[in-house]
Amino acid sequence: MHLRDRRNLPWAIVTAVLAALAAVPCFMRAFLTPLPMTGGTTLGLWYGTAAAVLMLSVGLVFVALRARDRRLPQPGWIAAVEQLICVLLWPLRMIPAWRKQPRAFWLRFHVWFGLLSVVLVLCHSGVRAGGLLTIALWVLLGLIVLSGALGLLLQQYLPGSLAQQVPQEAPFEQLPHLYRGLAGRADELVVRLAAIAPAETKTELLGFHTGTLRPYLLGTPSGSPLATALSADETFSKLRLITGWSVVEDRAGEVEKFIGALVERKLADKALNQVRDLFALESPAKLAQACNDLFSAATPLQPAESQQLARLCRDAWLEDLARLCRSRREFAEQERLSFWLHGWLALVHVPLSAALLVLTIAHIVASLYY
Amino acid sequence: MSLADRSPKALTDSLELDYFRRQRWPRRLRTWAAVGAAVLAVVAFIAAVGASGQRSFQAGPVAEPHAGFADDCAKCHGESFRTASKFWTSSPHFATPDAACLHCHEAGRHAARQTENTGTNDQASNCAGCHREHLGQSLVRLSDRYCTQCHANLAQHTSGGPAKYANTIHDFAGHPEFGAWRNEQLKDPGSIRFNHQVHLALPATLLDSEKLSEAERKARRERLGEMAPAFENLNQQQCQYCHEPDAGRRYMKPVRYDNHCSTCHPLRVPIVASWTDEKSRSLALAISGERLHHPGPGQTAANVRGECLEHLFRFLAKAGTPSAMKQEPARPPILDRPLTNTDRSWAEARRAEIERILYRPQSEFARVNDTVLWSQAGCAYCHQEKTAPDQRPNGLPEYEPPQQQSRWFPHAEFNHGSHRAMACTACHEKAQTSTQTSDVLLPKADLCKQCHNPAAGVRSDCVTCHLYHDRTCEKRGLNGMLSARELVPGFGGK
Repeated sequence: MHLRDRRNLPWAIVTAVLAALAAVPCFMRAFLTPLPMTGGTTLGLWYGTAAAVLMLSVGLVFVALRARDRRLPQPGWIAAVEQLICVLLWPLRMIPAWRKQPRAFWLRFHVWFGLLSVVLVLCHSGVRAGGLLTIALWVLLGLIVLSGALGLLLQQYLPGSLAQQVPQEAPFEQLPHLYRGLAGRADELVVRLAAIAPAETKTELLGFHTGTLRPYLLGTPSGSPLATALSADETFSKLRLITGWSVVEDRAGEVEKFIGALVERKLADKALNQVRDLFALESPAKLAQACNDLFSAATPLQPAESQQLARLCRDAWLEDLARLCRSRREFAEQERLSFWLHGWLALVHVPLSAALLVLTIAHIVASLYY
Repeated sequence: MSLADRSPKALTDSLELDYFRRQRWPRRLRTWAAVGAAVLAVVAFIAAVGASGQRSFQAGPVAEPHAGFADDCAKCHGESFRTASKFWTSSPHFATPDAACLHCHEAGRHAARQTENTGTNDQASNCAGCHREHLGQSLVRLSDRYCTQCHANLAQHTSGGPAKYANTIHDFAGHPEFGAWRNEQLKDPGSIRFNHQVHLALPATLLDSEKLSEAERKARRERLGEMAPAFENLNQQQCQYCHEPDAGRRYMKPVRYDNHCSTCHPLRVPIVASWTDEKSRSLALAISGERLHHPGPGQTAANVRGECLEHLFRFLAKAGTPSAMKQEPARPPILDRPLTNTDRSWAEARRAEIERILYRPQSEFARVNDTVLWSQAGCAYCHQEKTAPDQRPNGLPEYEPPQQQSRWFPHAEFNHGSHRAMACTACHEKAQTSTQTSDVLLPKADLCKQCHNPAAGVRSDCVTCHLYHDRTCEKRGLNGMLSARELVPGFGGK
C-alpha cells in the first residue's frame, strides 16, 4: 500500500471525521464534569466495546480473507479458527460493496481503522496507563502500531529496491525450486565441460563443482566464495588458471568466423539461418550446443574445427556457470529483502496482535467478572 | 532451457505452476508465531495473576495512603462493580460505599447549609464521587472543578438564604478578598501594647549606630548588660526572634513573655532603702536583680505580690535583721528565723512601694526614665488595665487578657514553612512601619495572587489553602478505631 496513493485520501478523511466524532463525547464529559474519564464509566464501556470490535475487525479481517481465498486444505484446527473468525466478521461480509473488494482495500481498512481504534482506546482509558494488565495492553498496542508503521514504511521502499536489485524477481515460494533448477543446469554444464576437458583438469573441475558450486546453488549462500560478485570472479579466474581455459576475448567474432568457415564449406541455407537465430539469442551455451548438434551428425567437423568448437564451448559454458551464480546471488538478495518485507509481519506484528487479542479477552472477562 | 537466460517468458517456463501450494517460512512462521505469542500471553497472564493476585486487575495504582491494603480489594470494594449494568445506566456505581471509607476515616461535612454530598451524623457522603482511587494521584489534591461545581453558583447548592461567602468563584484569580479583610477595617484585638517599628529598628540603633565610636559602643554594651546578647539576637533574627514556628512550621506559636520579652522587660523587685551596712546593700542589689515569674494564663497580680513578698522575706532572712519574736509561728518556709513585726511592717512598706511602681497607671509613664532598660514602667507599659486605679480590689490591678490571634483565616490553611525562602516582610509588608497593636500585618489576596497564579507557575488551586471537610466534626481526632492488624493486611510482613 503506497501512502501517496490517492485512494488513501477518502480513508484518511473518513478516519479523521470518525475519530473527531468519537472524541466529542469524551471532551464533552471532560467539560461538564470534573470526574475523570475511566473505562468503567458508561461512556468508557461503550468506547471500550467499540474499540474492541474495531480492533478485532481490523486484526482478523485478513484471516477471513485468507479463508475466503484459500484453495488448499488446512489442518482442521486452523480451518476451524478461520471459519469462526469468518462468522465473527459476518457483518463486514454482509456489505455487498465491500464483499468483493481486493486485498488492497482491506489493507487500507486495516491501517486506517486500526488507527481509529487507537483513538477509541485512548478515550476508553482516559489516556491513563492503568494497572498491570492494562499497561501490558498499552505496551502491546503501541508495539503493534509501531511495527505496522514500520511495515508500511518498508513497503514504500523495499519493493522498489527489490525491482532494482533483482530484475527477474521470482515468486518467493518458488525460489527453492529455482535453486534446484540452477543446480541441475550447473550439473549438466559441468558434465559437458568434464567430457571435453583433459584428464588432469577434470579432477579440479569436479572438485570445484562438488565442493563449491553445487552447495552454493542449493544451500545457504553466505560464506561461500561465490556469494559476492568479486569473490565469484576471483574463483572463476582461479578455475580458468588451473584448467588453462583462458578467456576468449572476442568470442562473438570468433564464432562468426567459425560459422563463416562453415558457410564456405557450402552449408545449406536452412542450417545457416538456424545458426544465425541462435546468435540472436546471444547465448553462447545455446550456440555451442546448437553448433554441436548441427554439425556433429550431418557434417563431421575437421580436427581443427573440433578444437576451435571445444574452445568456444568451454568458454561459453564457464560463463554460463558464472551466470548461474549471479542468478543465485540475485535470488539471495531477494530472500534478504523479502525477510524485511515480510518478516516484520510474521515475527512482530502478527504475534503481538495475537498476544493483544488474548490479553484483551482477559481484560474484558475480568472487567465483567468483577 | 537455461535458467541463466531468464526473460520473463523463460522464468515462467521454469516455474512450477502450483508453487503457491508450497508455503515457505513467512507464512508458516506467521501462523506458528501467532499461536506461540498467544500461548505466551496466556502463560504470562497466569504468572502475573499468580504473582500479583488481584492487583493485576487493578485499574491503576492506589494512592500512597492506601498502599498498605492494595492487594485486598474487599477493604474498599465491598460491593460488586456491576460493570455490565453500567452499559445502560449512567448512575455512577463505584463499588466503594461510603461505609468503606468511613470505617477508617471520619469525614465531617463541608458546610451546614450545603444540600449535596451530605450524609447522616454530620458526615460527608458520596466519598468516591470526589476521591477517585486508582488514578495514580493524590486523593486530596482535587481539581478546582470539584469545588466550583458548587462555588461557581453557591446559591443553587445551599439552603437557608444567601450564603455568607462569595456566591461565584471560578478560580483564585477571581477569589474575593480574604474573609477577615472583607468587611470593616480589620483590627488586631490584642491588648498588649506593641510597636513593631521600634522593636525592629531599636537593636540596630542601640548596638551598631554609626555615630558611636568603638569605645562608646563598648560602654553601651556594658550598660545594656544581659540585654546586649538579646538585642544582638533580635537584630539578627528580626521577626523570628519573637515569632517562632510551630513543630510543623505551618503557623507561629504565640509570643511568650518568658521567651521573648523578659530579657529586655524583666519583672523585678527593686528593694530600695537607705542602707547603713554594705551587706544589706549588696544583698538588696542582688535580690533586686532577680526576676519574678510573669503571671501565666489564669494567674493575676496577686501571684506577683506573693512572689514579691517572698523576695523581701528572703532578703530579711539573709540580711540578718535582729529579731525579737523568735516564737512567731507563721513564717514563710524560706526563713530560718521567725518573722518579727518589724520585719512585717518593713516588708509591707517595701511591697507597697514596689507595687506603686509596678502597677503605676499608664498616665504616669511620662515621668519614668529609662523605662526600656530597667522596666521601671511597670505592667501597664504593655498591659491594659481593666480596673480603675482607685478601685483596684485589694489594691491589685486587673489587666486585659493578651488575646493573641493565632489564626486569622479559619477557613484556609497556610504553611509558613513552604514560604521560608521569602523574607517575612515580603508578605507582611507593614511590619517595619507598624506602630500600633491594632495594626493587622497580614497580606491581602492581591498580594498572594502575585505569585499564586498559573502564569507565575505557583499553584493556585482551591485545595492549596482550603480543606473541604470540617475537621472539627472528627470527634475521634487522631485516635482512630482500628488496630494495626485490621488496617494493614500484611501486618508483620506476612
